[in-house]
Amino acid sequence: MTTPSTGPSSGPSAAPRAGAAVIAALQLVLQAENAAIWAYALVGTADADNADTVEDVRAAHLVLRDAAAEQITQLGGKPNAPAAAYQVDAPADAAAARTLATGLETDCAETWRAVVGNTDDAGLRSFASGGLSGSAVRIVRWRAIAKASPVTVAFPGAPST
Amino acid sequence: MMVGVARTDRRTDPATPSRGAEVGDPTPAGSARPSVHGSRTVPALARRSVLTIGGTAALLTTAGCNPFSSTRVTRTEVVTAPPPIDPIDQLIAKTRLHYLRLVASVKLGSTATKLTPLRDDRRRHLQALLDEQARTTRQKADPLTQPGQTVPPPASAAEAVTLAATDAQDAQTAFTDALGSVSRYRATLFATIAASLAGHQEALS
Repeated sequence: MTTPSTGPSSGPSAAPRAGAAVIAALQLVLQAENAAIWAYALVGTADADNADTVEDVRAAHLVLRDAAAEQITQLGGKPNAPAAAYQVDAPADAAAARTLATGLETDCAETWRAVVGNTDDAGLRSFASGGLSGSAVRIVRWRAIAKASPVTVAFPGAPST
Repeated sequence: MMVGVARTDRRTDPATPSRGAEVGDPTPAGSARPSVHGSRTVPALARRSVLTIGGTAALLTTAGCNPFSSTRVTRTEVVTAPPPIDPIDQLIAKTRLHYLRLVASVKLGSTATKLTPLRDDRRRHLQALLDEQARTTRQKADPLTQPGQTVPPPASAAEAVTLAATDAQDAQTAFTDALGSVSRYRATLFATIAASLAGHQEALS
């Protein structure tokens, strides 16, 4: 882990230079997790058959959001506040809702993957890898619900996927 | 100092015979033999002591040792650490084995629908690992498998699914464990593969 700032911080710019990149990556994670939490409300509305799944997934994102914010604070940064709203097309039906859910998880996976590539700290890599794996599991879950083929993804979070 | 003390003791202690006071020697104990240099007398013991001390001092000086020095000499021995083990070799071997098992399992037929996507993913994982290995060694990437490399198929479809899930869990652990000791690029690759393997377990559950 890069040297954390022990004093109060006014934002990422106050963090040590070595940790600025990883803090920026974690801010993107925070943004993606907040967007997922917000957008899953739309998914739950459009896909009532999977309301339980939506609730479980949303709860997981709340935990990940808090964990990411905590990590930013520990590194000396200040977690960005969530936006009031996000630009997401409201899904018209269950199929569109599942596609949206898969897209939300893919976005989260990309940001978690970026954290792994922006730090040399083994603990932080493991933490981010856990977030990436969680998103990969949820991608498979939504693709299975949507009966997509193939159901699995070879490189979740990679730009080509 | 020792020499002076010895001379004094031998002169004042009549019970201690001088080395010169031998049987039949007319010289009384405690007195020195006459020196060949006029009237000055030097005991033989003192001469040997002086020679011994002088020789020892010369030897210590030659050896670079000073027993009266307070300076500590720290000798640093540098031992070269063994080269770190590259985890990618083991990960390639493990991925290749799991890929071959999936190839054999898919041939059972009844599990093809479920295991074919996993086999395809594992083939892509293996290719990515081989490419990464070739990139760092500046050599041509090894083929996915060598001719004749096969594993026996599982006894049943249920066993094939169980084996695939176990392999995915095992590989996910291996890739996650290797995260801390590799470059950032490799860490990203390993984390992505580990995440894919977590998805495989979800698909098989």
